This record gives sequence, structure tokens and C-alpha cells, in this order.
Amino acid sequence: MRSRLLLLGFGIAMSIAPGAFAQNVAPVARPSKPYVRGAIPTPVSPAAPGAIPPTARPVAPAVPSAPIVRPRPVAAPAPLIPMVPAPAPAPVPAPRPLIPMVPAPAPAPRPPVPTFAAPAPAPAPTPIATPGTVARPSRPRFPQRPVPVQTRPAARPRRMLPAQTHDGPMLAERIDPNVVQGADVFDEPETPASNGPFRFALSFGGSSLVVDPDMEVGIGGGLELAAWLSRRFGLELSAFGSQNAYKEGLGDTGIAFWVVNVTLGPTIRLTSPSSEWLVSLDGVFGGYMVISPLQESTWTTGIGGGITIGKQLTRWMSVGIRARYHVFNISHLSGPEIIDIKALRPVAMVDRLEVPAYVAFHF
Amino acid sequence: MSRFTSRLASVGLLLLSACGDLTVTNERPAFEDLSVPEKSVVERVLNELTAFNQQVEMHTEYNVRTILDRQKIDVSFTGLILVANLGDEIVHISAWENLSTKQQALIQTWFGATTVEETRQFYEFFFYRFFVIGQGAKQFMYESSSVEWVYLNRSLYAVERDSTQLALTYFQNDAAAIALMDRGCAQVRKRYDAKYRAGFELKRPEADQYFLDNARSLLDPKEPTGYIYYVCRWIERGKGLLDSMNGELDWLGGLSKK
Repeated sequence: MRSRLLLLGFGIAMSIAPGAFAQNVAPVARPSKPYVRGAIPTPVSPAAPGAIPPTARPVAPAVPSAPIVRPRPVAAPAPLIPMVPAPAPAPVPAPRPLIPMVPAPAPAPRPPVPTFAAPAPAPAPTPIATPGTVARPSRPRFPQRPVPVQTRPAARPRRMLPAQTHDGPMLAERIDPNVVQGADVFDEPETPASNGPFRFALSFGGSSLVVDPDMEVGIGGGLELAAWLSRRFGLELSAFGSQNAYKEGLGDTGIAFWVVNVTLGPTIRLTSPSSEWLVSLDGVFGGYMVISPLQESTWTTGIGGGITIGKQLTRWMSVGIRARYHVFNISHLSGPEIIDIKALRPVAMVDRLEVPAYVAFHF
Repeated sequence: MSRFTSRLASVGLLLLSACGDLTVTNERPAFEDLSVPEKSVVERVLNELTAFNQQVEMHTEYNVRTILDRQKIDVSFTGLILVANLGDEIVHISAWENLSTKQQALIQTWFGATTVEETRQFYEFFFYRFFVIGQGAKQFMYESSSVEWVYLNRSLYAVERDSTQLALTYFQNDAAAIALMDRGCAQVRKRYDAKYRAGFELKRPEADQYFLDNARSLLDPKEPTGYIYYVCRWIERGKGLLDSMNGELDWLGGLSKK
């Protein structure tokens, strides 16, 4: 029974979050033998003073005579790291860091980079052009965003350099050589944003009839289904039920005030969609069912709004907290008029603040 | 921007406050603020409860003084046919003057009264005397066994039946009251047997569950016809189980001690 449940759970998880389980699978399409184990040159001596330690960015030996080609999917099929050195290779300098912090002393003259316009003849900072990398004419003040790579799968965990791993060569083999090595490694967030436009959340937390002195703070729970229609805008369908006990005399009876609302409303994301944090403003409108101990249930209309703050834990799951303020019994939909159980009088508009925590699943 | 936000918030609060106090509980008017007929009803109810309390104090170690207060008797609500004591030391009784014409006509139908005056006679006995003693009986249960114990251990059916039985015991020596009850309840049973008899004659505990499941319709404060039928049947059945006030109070007060 337990193993069946595990299998069922695994199947459901695979169906809703394929990216979560595919992240460690190596790319299928791969250039022929892009890398030979041990071919990554291990620097034997430190580079110029002030340079990044060479273990951070292992690069292939530079081939000055080879044209520098910006890596694209349609690039020439020539191997990026040739197995056989090109004829008449230039003297191979010692491996250097990809982005030197300080220009290397004695820079060697290098051909202009055709990719970039305005090749300034100024000799100073020496970009090191290596196959599979994009040389930069000068060191920008701030790191530039990496060039988007089409061959990269959408869901990919943070990639580590071989030198940073205990099994570096094995991971290095998984690195797509078409990817601009080293340029974007450190720009990836540790926890990526969700990869689906839908979110299903379960919430549970406190609720309070804010201004009613006769009501205790209660509890409630619900579920919601949200869909992002664009990067910043989405719609959310939610159902939430809460119960608040009475204070003082009626508190001994165990009678509680129950409200269940089914609402639909817009949600506006304030944070970047790629951020691991979600901050959104929400508005709701819908039906509010009041369950009375004296009468049949009554459906009324109501509105509400609030804020949601969440953090992405994985690509398919996030947690957070939500604060939402409702005003209901604005108009009557069905059922008898709501009667106050304390003074037996008709009830006007009622408010409620709910602050539940939630766990959400993205797909 | 901040000025705009603060103005928006102010307007929103004004709108909300204009629409109501945003609460599900209201405050009852004080006795001094009631109309003359309402004050008269409060006095009649208070007299009946005071007499009942004397019986309780005579036969038991308990009393129902907590509800012997004009401010604790709520008759000011309108449009509802209701008698209730939920355990918050308030007795709710509908005043005849606060019923709608339709509701007064419904009560006339219940008891088969030919005139409004006859209807009122029935209403005043049942609602200002018989049901008032029933609410006193509930208060006696709350005092002797605690509100929590009653809500946790006794069914709604049992509480209503036992309070009716104690009220019947209280009036068993009042021939005029018994005659009025018999006459009114004969009409109720004649009119509503077809609708409510099957549910009423269920054996316990099915009867308890049926009463609870259908409480909102049986006790509907707009039209509690089902509750009146049950009361009349409990009266009819209770005549064969009559005991003295001492015996009845002793049994009811000892329920939580068993």
C-alpha cells in the first residue's frame, strides 16, 4: 500500500512538475565530443598579479589565428575546442582569467573583434578571446547581462564550475559547450522563479472581524487558483472559510459565526517574474455565504483586497503569507436576511481581515 | 502621492462608516428606551420568571436570578416569532405588537382562532407565560449543569422537550391554562399532522437527529410552525409523564451529576 502511494505520489509529481525532475538530465543534443576529460588545462602558475585565481575560470588555450565567432546555434560546425591544434599555432600563453581584474602587463597585440563595432586600436585591456567565449573590448563598469543562449534548457539548476565541485570533470561534461562559458555563471539566482503560469495554493491562518468587540479572533482556511495572464497581471479564483466564536455570554455556547467566500479578482505582481520573491496586490469580488445558527444560510456579495508576499522554494513550490481585508453583506443574493444572534436585529455590512500562510504549487 | 493615498483612505473609511458599523452583533436598547407595549411585556415576563424562580429556590439549591432583570429581557426586535435563551443570560420573547400582520394571521391559523382578540389571547398565554417558563427552565439547566455541559451533552431536541415538560408541570394545576393549551393544540395537530407527524414520531436518537437536521426550518423565526407542532405534541405526551415540580426539578438538575 505504501509503495503504491509512493508510486502514485511520484507519478503526480512528475506530471505536475516535469522540470523539477529533469533538471539533472544532461542535454541530449550535444556536439561531437566537445570535451575530453583532462583537456581542461590546469594552470600551473598564477597569472598576472591581481588576476582572478585561475581555478575559477578554466579556459582552453587561446588560438590567436582563429577568427572569433560569437557562438550561435547556427555557427560553423567546427569544433569549439579542436582536438588537434591548428597549424602554426601561436605560442600558448599561460592560462589567464577570463575577466582580469587588472589589465595584464605586456599585452599581446590582438586582432580586432569583428563582432563589436568601433574597434578601438587602443591596446590597453587585453581581452582574452578563446573559442567558445566572447571577447570584450573593454571592461565595463558593471557586469553585463549574459548573451541569451538558445540551447540552454529552461529549467536548469545552478551550474558550478568544475573546480568548485567535488566531481568537477563529471559536471563539466554536462556543460553545454555552446554556452558562453563563464560569462553568466554567477548571474543565475540560487532559487529560480516558478516556471508555470498557474498557481494552486492551500492557505490556513487567522481571521478577525476587526471592529466587532463581541467576536473572538478566529481561524480559517481555503484554496485558490491563480493564472498569470501576463508578466505582471493575473486572475485569482479563491475560496476561503472562517469561523469566529462569540465572546462573553455567547462564548460559552460554542456558537460561532461562519463565513465562506468564493471570489474572483485581479492580482498585480510588484516583483519581477524572475525573482524568487513574490509581492502582489490582490483584489477580490464575489459571493459570501453567512452560516447562521438560527437561520438558513445566506449568500451576499462582498469585495476585498490585500497583499501577498511569497518566496519560491523550488520551481514548483512556494510559501508565503497573505493579508486580505473583506467587506461583505453589501447586497443580498439568496437566503433570509442575516439576523444578529445577540440582539436579533438585521445585520448591515460586515468586515473581516484574514492573514493566512499558504503553500502554493506552480504548474 | 501620499496625500492622495490618505485622502483615498479617508473617503473609504467614511463610506464604510456610512454603510454601517461593520459588526455582526448589535446592542439592544435599554429598558428605558422601549415603547410602552414593550415595557408592559417585559413586566409580564419578569413577573412570570419571578414566580418560577420562587419554585426553583423552594425545591433546589439553585436559582435563576441572573435573568430577573428588566435589561435581560429582550422584546424589542421586530418581525420575528421567537422565544430563546441561548445561554447568555438573555431571554428573547417576541412582543405581539412587533409582529407583522402576516405573522399575526399565521398565529391565528395555528390555533384556529376566529378573531384577532382570540388569537392574541392564545399568543399571550403561550408566549408571555408558557414559553417564558420554558426559558426559565433552560436557565435552570444552565445554572445547575453549566452552559458548556448542556451544549456538549444534551441535544437540542432534549433541551426543548425538557423545558416544555417543566413548563407543563408548572401549569398542571391551572385548569384555565390547561384548557387553553388543549384547545389551541388540538387545532395545531389537526392542521399540521400531515406535515410534521412522521418526523415527530421517530424514535430516539433518530428523533434528536431529525430535529437538529431540520432545526432551521422548524425553528425559523419568520414562521416557526414546526416548533409549535412539536411543543403541542410534547404537551400531549407529557401529560402522561407528569411529576411534581420537586421531582421534575430534581431530575433536571441532577442530569450532569449522574
